[in-house]
This record gives sequence, C-alpha cells and structure tokens, in this order.
Amino acid sequence: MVWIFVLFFFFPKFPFIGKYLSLGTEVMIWSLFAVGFNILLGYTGLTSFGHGAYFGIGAYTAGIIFLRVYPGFWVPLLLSIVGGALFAGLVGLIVAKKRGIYFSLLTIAFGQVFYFIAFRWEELTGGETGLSKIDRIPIGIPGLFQVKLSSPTNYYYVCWAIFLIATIIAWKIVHSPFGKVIQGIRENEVRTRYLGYNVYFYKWASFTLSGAFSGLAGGLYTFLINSAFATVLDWTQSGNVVMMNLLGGGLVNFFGPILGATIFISSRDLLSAYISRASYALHFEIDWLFIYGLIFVFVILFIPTGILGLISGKKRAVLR
Amino acid sequence: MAAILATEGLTKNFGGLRAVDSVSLQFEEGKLTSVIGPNGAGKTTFFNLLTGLIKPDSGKIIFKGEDITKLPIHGIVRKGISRSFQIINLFNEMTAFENVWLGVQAQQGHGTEFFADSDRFKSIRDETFRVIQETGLTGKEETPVKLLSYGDRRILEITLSLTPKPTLLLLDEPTSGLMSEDRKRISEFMKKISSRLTLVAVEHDMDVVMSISDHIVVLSQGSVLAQGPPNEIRGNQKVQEAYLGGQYCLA
Amino acid sequence: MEEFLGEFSSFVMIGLVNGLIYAVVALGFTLILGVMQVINFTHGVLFAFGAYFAFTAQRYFNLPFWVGLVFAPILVGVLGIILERAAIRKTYGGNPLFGLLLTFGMATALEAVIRMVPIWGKVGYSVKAPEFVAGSIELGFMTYSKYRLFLAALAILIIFVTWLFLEKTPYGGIIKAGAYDSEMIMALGKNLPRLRMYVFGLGAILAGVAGVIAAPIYSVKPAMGTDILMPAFIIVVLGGIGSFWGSVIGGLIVGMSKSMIVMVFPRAEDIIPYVIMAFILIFRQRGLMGEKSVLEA
Repeated sequence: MVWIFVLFFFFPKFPFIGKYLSLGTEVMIWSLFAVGFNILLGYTGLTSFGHGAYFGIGAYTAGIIFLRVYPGFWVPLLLSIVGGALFAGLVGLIVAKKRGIYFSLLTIAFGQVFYFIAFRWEELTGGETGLSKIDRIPIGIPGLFQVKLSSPTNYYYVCWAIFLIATIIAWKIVHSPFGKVIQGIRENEVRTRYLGYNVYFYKWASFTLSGAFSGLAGGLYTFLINSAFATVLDWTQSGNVVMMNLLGGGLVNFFGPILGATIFISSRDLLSAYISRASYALHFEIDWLFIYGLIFVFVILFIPTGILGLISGKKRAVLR
Repeated sequence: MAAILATEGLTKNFGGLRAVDSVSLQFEEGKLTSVIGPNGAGKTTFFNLLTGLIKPDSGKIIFKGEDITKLPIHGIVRKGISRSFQIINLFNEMTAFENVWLGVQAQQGHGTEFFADSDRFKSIRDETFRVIQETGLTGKEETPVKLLSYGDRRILEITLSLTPKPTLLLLDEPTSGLMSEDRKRISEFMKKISSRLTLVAVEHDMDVVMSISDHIVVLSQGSVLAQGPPNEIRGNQKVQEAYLGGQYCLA
Repeated sequence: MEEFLGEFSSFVMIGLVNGLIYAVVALGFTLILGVMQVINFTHGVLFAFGAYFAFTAQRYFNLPFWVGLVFAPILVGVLGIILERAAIRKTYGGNPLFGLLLTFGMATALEAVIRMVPIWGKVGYSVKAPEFVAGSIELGFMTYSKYRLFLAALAILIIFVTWLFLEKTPYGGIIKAGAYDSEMIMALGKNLPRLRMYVFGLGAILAGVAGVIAAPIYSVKPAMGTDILMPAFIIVVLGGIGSFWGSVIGGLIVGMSKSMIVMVFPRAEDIIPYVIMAFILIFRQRGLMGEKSVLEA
C-alpha cells in the first residue's frame, strides 16, 4: 500500500511529532527488520527467537568496517547485509532441519552465542562499551551532488528510500513461486515434501533471507546512533521483533509488521514517561519491564492475530 | 512383465512392535495392485517406508532398478513415486486452485524463483486449470479446501498426488469414509488413470478391490500372507481366516 | 604440585555442584518442554522465587534453613500452577510462538515484580547456610566448603527422588512417556489438563528447590533467574528434549565445562556450553539421549 510510504515521506512535515526525526528513522529501521523477519515468521511459519543476533551482526559489521576497513557509508552498509545473511545462513544450515519448539529453542541458543561473542571479544567489538564514533559521511556522486548524511533529515530520507526498496523486495519474494512454497511449508510441511519440494532448502533460504534484512536494519541502526552495542543482540531484542510482528498483525497481513513496529517504537518512550509519572504519583516505583511484560501477556491472550487481524475479524492466523 | 518396484526384506520395528516384517514384494509395471489386510497389518507403515517418510530398520527398496532406500521424500517423488494419504492431507486454508498450483509448480521445476511474480507463470496456470477440470472440480476451485465436501476433498487428495506426474502412484485408502456413489466415482477414476501409470492401492472395500485389481497382496501382522489374482485370493483359506476376526467378508 | 591439585579439585567440585544445580533446573524444564511442548521462560524466574522465598524465611521470619527448603518449593509450585491455569494452558497445541511469547512476557513481568517488592528490591543478598554445614572441611589435599558438599548431596537426593517418581510410580510413568510423545498420554485416556497442570507444578517445584539450595552459594539477585535459564536451554538441547538422564548428564557437562574453562580461558566461560552443544548437535542431532519426536523436520 502506497499510502504507508507517502505517510512516512511526509512525516517530518507533521506538526509536533515531525521533529522527532530520530524516532521516525528508528521506526522505519525496525519496520524494515520486522517485514524481512516476517518472511520467516508469518510466511514460512517458523518462530525464530534469535534474530536479534543478525541485526546485531549487521550493526557490528557496519561499525567495524567503518572504523577499521573503509570509512564510508555504502560499503559498510552493504557488508552489514552480507554479515547478517552469512551468519543466518550458517545457523540456518543447522536449524532448518528442525521445526516447532526445537527450532525456536535452537535459534535462541545460537542467538545467545553471538551475544556473548559480541560482549566478550573486546578487541573486535569493544566489549561492554561497544563501538562509537561511527559517523555518517556525505554520500553522493563526486562532481555531481553531495548529500550530508550527518543531517538527521537527510538520513531520514535515505533510510526512507532504503526502507521502500527493501519492502518492495520482500513483497516480491513472498509473491513469487518461492513465496508460495514457503507458505505451503507453513500450512503442511509433509505434503509440501510429497509434492517434490526440498523443504530443508526452502527453510534455510527463508532463514537466510530474513537474516539479510536483519543485517541491513542493524547497519542502518548503527549509523543512526553512531555506535554499536552488544545489547542489540540479546534475546529481548529478538523478542521485540517477534512481538512487533504479532502485535501489528504480521500473521495475517504483509504490512502488519510495519504497523507493529510503529506502535511499539513510538509507544516505548511514551510509556516510560507515563510510568515515571505514575510512579511519582503513587510514591512507588513501577518497573517499566513489569508493564512491558504485562503487555506481552495481554497481546498474546487477547489479540493473537494482531491489530490488523482484529480489524479484519480474522480468528485464525492466515497470511496471503 | 517387469517389476517397477521391488522390496527386499523390508523391516520396521516400533519399540517392541514389528510393524513390517521382512517384506519382499514385487510390483508389476502398468498393473493395478491392491494391498489388503486386517487393521494393524502394517499397510500404511509399508507405504510410509516406500515413500521415505520413515526409514526401514533393514531391507531395500528398488525402483526401476535403482536403490531408493536412503532417499528423502522429495527425492523419491522426483524419481516418480507419489502417494495419497489415508487421512486427508491438504493445504486446508488454501483454495483448491492454490493446492493444485503448488503441485504443478513443483512438477514444472519452479519454486526457487525469488523475484518473479508467480501469477505470470502461464504454463503453471494453464496446467492447474486443466487438472481442476479433469477431476471435475471446476467451479469450486476458489473455495478454501476446508469448506469443500468430504467427497471433493478426497478427489482433491488424489488429484494432488497426481500433480508430480508419477509413474507409480500409491493410494492409501482412497475411498475411506465415502458413500457408495462417491466410491464408484473414485474407483472409476482409478481405473481410468491405471492405464497410464502403475497403481498400488490400500483398500478395505472388497467390491472395489475385486473389480479393479489386476493383482492382490494380502498383508497380516507385518508380513505377506498371500498374493495373486482376485479369483485366487477370493478362495484362499488363510486369507478368509485372517479376516474372520475382522468385519470383512470376501464373498 | 599439591597446590595445583588443590586448586584443580576445587574447580572440579565447583563444576560438579553447579552442574547438579543445573541438572535439577533442567529436569523441570525438560519435563514441561516434553509433555506440553512449551518453552517455559518463567522457569528461570521461578528458580529466583525459590531463592527469594528462602531468603525471606531466613531474614524476616528467622526460620531455620530447612523450613525454607520445604516450603519455598511448595510456594513456587503453587505460583507455577497459578500461571499455568491462568494463561499458559491456553497456548497448548497451537503455534509454539504463543507459548514462547507468553512465558517470555510473564518472566519479564515477574522479574520486575521481584525488583518492586519492597523487602527484595534490586540489590543482591546472601543467604546463610544452615549451621551444621557452615564452614569448611578438609579432605586430603583440599579444603572444601561443607555446604557445597551438603548441597551436592541434596541435589543428588532430589534427582533420585524425581527418578523414583518417574520410574516407579504409575503417574510418573505416564509423565515420562508423555515427555517423549505427548500423544501417548491422550491414548492412555488420562485427564490431560490435570496431568499437564501437575507436570508444570512439578517443573516449578524443581526450579524452586534448586533456587533454595543454590541461594547460599549464589548471590540472591533479580537477574539470577535469567542467568540460570540459558544453561537450562542448552542442557535440554544437548541432553535431548524430554530425557531424564540427558538433563542430568547435560547439567554436569555444562557445569563442569564452565568451571574447567575458567582455568585456561576465562573469557570463554559463557560460550563454552554453546560450543559443546553445537558440537554434540553435529554428531547427534537430537542431543545425547534424545529420541526422534514430532519436533523434527
């Protein structure tokens, strides 16, 4: 739907909220992450709870390449895609043989491996302090034009363009013959095999593709905050992207993840502000994670098909 | 008179239970063989072994002279063996059209195209419509499978198993749960397709078995009790005894 | 040489003791995973609650250690059953996604609850070992903490009692079968919801009792639940889902590997269990003692 991108395009012009460019950029980055992730979650029906790792790998790849190899923009960004895809591809070789909770369990375990590596391999990743001073240098064609990415507005629009292209690619993937097969796998894996499809390959490919999107999102995020930290890799972030997909209705609609990411990221700051005020008023400190956890529980129990699912009255999670 | 499919000493145990006991069989090309036997005789397990869903503990499966014992399901299907399921095994949330589409798409060698618009593949589309028409489901193809009648779903189950264009088709209780009218529909369909491929069917309906089979194999407790043309089996003492405990009459 | 042996054996003991604690936790976790196919994220925080209840009994009610040991696990078991009945059971049989997210959300909220309870809060506490095992004992070339030996004995006892229950009682037999193949329970015609509730309760009790006995040697802090959860995941994968001995042996492997690696390459302490897990998976896809289940492709 074109109007989503039109909305995002004009967002910086909106009164009051338009100045939160960094937030808007973050929303688009996570939307990109979530849409790519939905190829695996919603379309193939595989719940990975460790994709924060590939986001993080993308984030660190961009940072490390920028600081140590080539201080550019496109090169680190492209390599962040490669990094996400590569490691997702490696892990995918193992996990694609499984399904159900065994699959999820393994994705969590492998996600954590990368987290600890990022945390402990200080020489490479900066350990607990992470990497910093990852600047956004100007991009453009020498001699023709130059865009200073250090300006938040410019970076917002570059991310918008990348978000648009990535979403189109994801759309094409799920509407291709490949997309039909992965949905078949979700609906009835045994039957899909009996039609002659090498299901292992398709699961692996789906895992790897979603890893590529995750890596890209990670790279964009590093440039947004000009740094890379290990916290993006831990399982809370993996849980976040799953929740975004679910909340928005990614199980019933291609655009669900975008809605979910938007709501999730924008309300995060709002919510913590309210909680601080409530804590102050009640003279009792309410832990933000308490509310956060309760929201998870609430969504699972009462809006399992997500907001778009609720609106369209879908009881069962059926994606087209 | 060639054996298109042969098993040698095929055995499968589940815990202490010997489900398939050293079965050595040959299936002739072009014929329609029925596999019958009382419940629990190991018929479905046998099919599961033949198609790679489970791996045998010992024994071999030879298809057209090639040892396929270790192949994965999709490998066996690609070699030319397909099967239908006793419990209807379709893509329930999808339409009949989409179900057949998936099968046709695989047979035509597609699936790995990431960026192509699947609606553009005319050859898949045409073939899908042709299959839908051949099996009499025209007009119902846009209905989600879960809403179709049981009889239609049974037909679709067999149709789907035909989409890989197999040379050998295994049908696991194709008339199960159907009323006599639909049973006739299915058995006529089976007779029609048996002219162009080898059929092996597990069946309980003796009328169907006796009328369409070229050859009958009787399994009991995991091993072959008897085999031969319908007349022979009809008069076979051992077979009658095996069924006496059950609810079937070989009149 | 003696010094080295002394140090070496203390690392071995630490590894064994930790391994036994992990084993008890993993045992509860694997039962829930096997029977209900739920990845129970709350398992870690239930472990923490066990420790916190024991701490409260000792610090605020001045009760002897054994009171905490008996009652804390019961309270945790009740808490677990409440969670199961209120929400978790609604996710059985469906897309595993829901059970995962639900328990994840609950665990996050519950850990936050620990931080919010006025007498608990965010700080770490210590729990005192019972009097008769305080202090250390000399065994040949090494000095060892009496409590750790006591803990090891307790853990072994708990594992043994659980084993007895699963192997020798009819109800336990059903659970054991169900851990491998949940459909089998339905075939046996038992009251499935009630059985599942008890299994969850049992799992919770195991997590809780592990928390109590671990409390004197670990720092009792809110994050202790999350810290124990990952090892439980790894153990269950490398030992085999639903396998009793897989959990026990897996627990020991993880405990030992962590303490051994600290001697040579401390930075890898967090990672070594994963490396071992990945290694085992390459050679034995279902874990050391795993059986083929519906969870595979």
